[in-house]
Amino acid sequence: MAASPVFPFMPGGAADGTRLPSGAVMLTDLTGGFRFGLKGGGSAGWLASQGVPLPAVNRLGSWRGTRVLRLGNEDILLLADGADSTLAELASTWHGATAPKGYSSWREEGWAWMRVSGPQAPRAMERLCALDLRADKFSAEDIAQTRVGHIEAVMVRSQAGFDVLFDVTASAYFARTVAAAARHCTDLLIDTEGHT
Amino acid sequence: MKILTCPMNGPRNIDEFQSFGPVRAEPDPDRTADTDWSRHLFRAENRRGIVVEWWRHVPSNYFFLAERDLVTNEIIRTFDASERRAQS
Amino acid sequence: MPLRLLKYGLSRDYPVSGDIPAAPDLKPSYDVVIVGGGGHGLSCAHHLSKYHGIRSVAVIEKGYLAGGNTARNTTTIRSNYITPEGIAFYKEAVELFEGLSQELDFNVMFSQRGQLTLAHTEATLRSFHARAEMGKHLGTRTEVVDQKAVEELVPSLNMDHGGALEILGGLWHADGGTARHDAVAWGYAAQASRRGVEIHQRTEVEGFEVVGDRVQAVKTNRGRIACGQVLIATGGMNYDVALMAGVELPIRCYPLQAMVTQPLKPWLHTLVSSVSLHTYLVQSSRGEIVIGGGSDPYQLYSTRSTLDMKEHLAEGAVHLFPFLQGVRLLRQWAGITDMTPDYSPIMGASPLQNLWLDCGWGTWGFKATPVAGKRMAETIAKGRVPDILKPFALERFETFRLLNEMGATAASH
Repeated sequence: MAASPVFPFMPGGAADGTRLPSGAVMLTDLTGGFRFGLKGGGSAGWLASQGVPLPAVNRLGSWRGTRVLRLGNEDILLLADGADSTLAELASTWHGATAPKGYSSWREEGWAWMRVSGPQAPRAMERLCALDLRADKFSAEDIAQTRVGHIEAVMVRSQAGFDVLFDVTASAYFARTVAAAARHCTDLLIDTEGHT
Repeated sequence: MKILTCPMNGPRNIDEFQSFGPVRAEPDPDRTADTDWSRHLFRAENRRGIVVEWWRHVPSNYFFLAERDLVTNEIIRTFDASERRAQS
Repeated sequence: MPLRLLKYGLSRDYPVSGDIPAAPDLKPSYDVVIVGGGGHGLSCAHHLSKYHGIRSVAVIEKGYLAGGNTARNTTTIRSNYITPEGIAFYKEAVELFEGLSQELDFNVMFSQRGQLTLAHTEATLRSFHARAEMGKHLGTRTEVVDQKAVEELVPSLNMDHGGALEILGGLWHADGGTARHDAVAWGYAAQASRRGVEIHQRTEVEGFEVVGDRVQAVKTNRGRIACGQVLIATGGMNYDVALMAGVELPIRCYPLQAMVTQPLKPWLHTLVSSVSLHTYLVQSSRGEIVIGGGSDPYQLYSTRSTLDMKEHLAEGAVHLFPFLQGVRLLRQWAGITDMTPDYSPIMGASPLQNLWLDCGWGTWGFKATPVAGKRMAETIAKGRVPDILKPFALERFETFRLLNEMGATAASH
C-alpha cells in the first residue's frame, strides 16, 4: 500500500504534505473521522440519560457501532468508526439540550487520530511507548493515557494495530517519530517518500 | 526511571507527572490577615520527613495526592483526592 | 631525580606552608560566628577581618571547606537580571570578581568571556529587550543581538534555520564570565586566616540558645560558643539551620544536577545558555564542557543523580552542538538548592536581633560570593542593612514586594 498523506486539517500548515510511513509499519491518519467528546460536570449523567452505556475509567465500551472511551469520571470520547449518523444525531441532541450536560471537549478539532498498523507495529510501539503493550497486559478493552513518542497521547488497540489520539499540532512530528522508530526496529523497507 | 503509581492510570515513569508541591491549608481570604496570607502563599512544607503532595498525571490531566519522603524519595502511597476530603 | 625531589621536599630550608592554618580548639566565645564554610561565609569573614577590623571570628563548617554548593555549582558570573534591584546587586558582584585575584593575592582564574543566552521564540526575544534596556540603564553591558551576530559569536552553534527551535537572536552579556570556584573559596579562607579568623571544619551546629530576641550561643558537636553576632550562610542547609533558631524561611529545597564531558580542545569561547532547552554550556579551563540546566522538578533532599535529567541535559547540549554527540561524560553530580518563591536571595535581618541571613541562594549563589560577603560583613559590623541589600529583606514576602527573577534563572519553571 502506498504511503498516505497526513489529513489536510489545515492546508498550507506545518503538517501539509507530510507523508506517512507505510510497509511493515504503517501509519494511517484518521483525523478526518467523526468523533464527539464531552467533559466536565454533567457529561456522564447526560450520556447515560441518552442510553449510552459508560464503561469504567480507562476502559473501552461500545454503543450502536461507536466506540466509547471513558478517559475520566467526566471525560468521555465517542469514536464514530463509521456510525457517523448515530453520533451526529447524538451531538445534535446534545447541542439542543439544557444543562447540566458537560461541555464539548472539541476532540474533533484539538486532537489528531492516527493508527499504527502493519506486521511490525508492536515492535515499533515498543520503541515509542514505555508501557507493556503485550495483549495479555493491554487488552482490547483497555485505554492507556500515556506518552507515545514523547508526547501526551490516548491509546487503544484497534483490530489492525493501535489507535493513537494526540494534540493535532504534533501531527508532522508524530509521523516523523513513528517513521524513525520503524526504521530502527526493522530492516524491512519502510516507505516514507510516497513510493510503492 | 523512577516509577510513580497513579491511582487512576497505574504505575508510570515519573516524567509523566507534574509536581504541584505539598498540600497547604486553605484559609478564607476574607478572614485571613496579610501576614497569614503571605505565609500561606510563600511557605510550603520543607522539613525533612514525609509530605503529602499534589501531583498531576499529565496525559490524563488527573490530580491526586502522594505521600513521599523528602529525604529518601520513597513514595509511600498515592491516593485519590476524595480520600483526603473523607479524612478531614 | 626522585631522590633529589624527596631531599628538597624534606629539607628544613623549605618548610611546608599551608594556605590555611590548622584550627585551634574552639574558644568559649567569638564576636562573630559564621555558620557555613562555603564561599559566602568565607567571603564575609574576609571582609569583616580586612575592612571592619573584626578578627574574633569563627567560621564553622559541618563538612569540609567549600565542599557544599561552592563545589557543586557551574561557576557562572553575570548581572543580566530583570529587576533593577537584582541588576544593581549582581553588577557589584561582577565588578568585585574583576579585581578578585588582586584582592586575594590568589589567582581565581576569572575569565570574562561573555555570556550568550539564546532565544528560540519571539516571546523570549521580547523579554530579552526588556532585560537589555534595564541592564544598559544600570550600566551593565547587555544587548540584544540578531541571528548573524549569534553566528559570529559562536560559529559552531546549530541555528536550526526553519526548525522548531530556530535561534532567532540572543542576549549578549559581555560582562559575563566564570571563575575557579575552589580558588575563590580558598583565596578568601587564606586571607581571612591570615588576619586571625578561625576556620573550624567538621564542626556542626546542633542548635541555638535563644534568649528573648537574641542568640546567646551556638551549640555545636564540639561544644557551646557564645556569640556577639551570627550569620547563617549554609546554602542547601539554610532552611534547616534557620529553623533551629526558630526562623521559618520561605524556602523549598530541590536538587540541581550538572555534568562535565571529557576534555576537548578549546572551541567554546563564551558561555552559552538556552531558555527553551533549559540547558547551558561552558568550557572549563581544563577543556571539559560543563553542562547544567534547571533544577529537579520536585522537592527533595537527596543529591542523587537521575538518568532522565542527564538525558534532558544531553539532548539540549546535542541539539545546540550536534558534534558533541559522540563525546563522553566524565562526571556528574548534584547539589541541594534553597529556592525562594521569587528566585531572589534573602539577605539581611532575621526576627532575632543578632542573627543575620545570607540565604535563599537557589541556583544563583556562586556569582554573588564576593558581594554577599562584602555587604553582609558591612551589615554585621555596622548593625545596619545597606541600601543595596534592603530590597532582599525577609520581610518582602509579608509586604508582597517580591523581586521576580524567575525569567533570568536557569531553574525549572
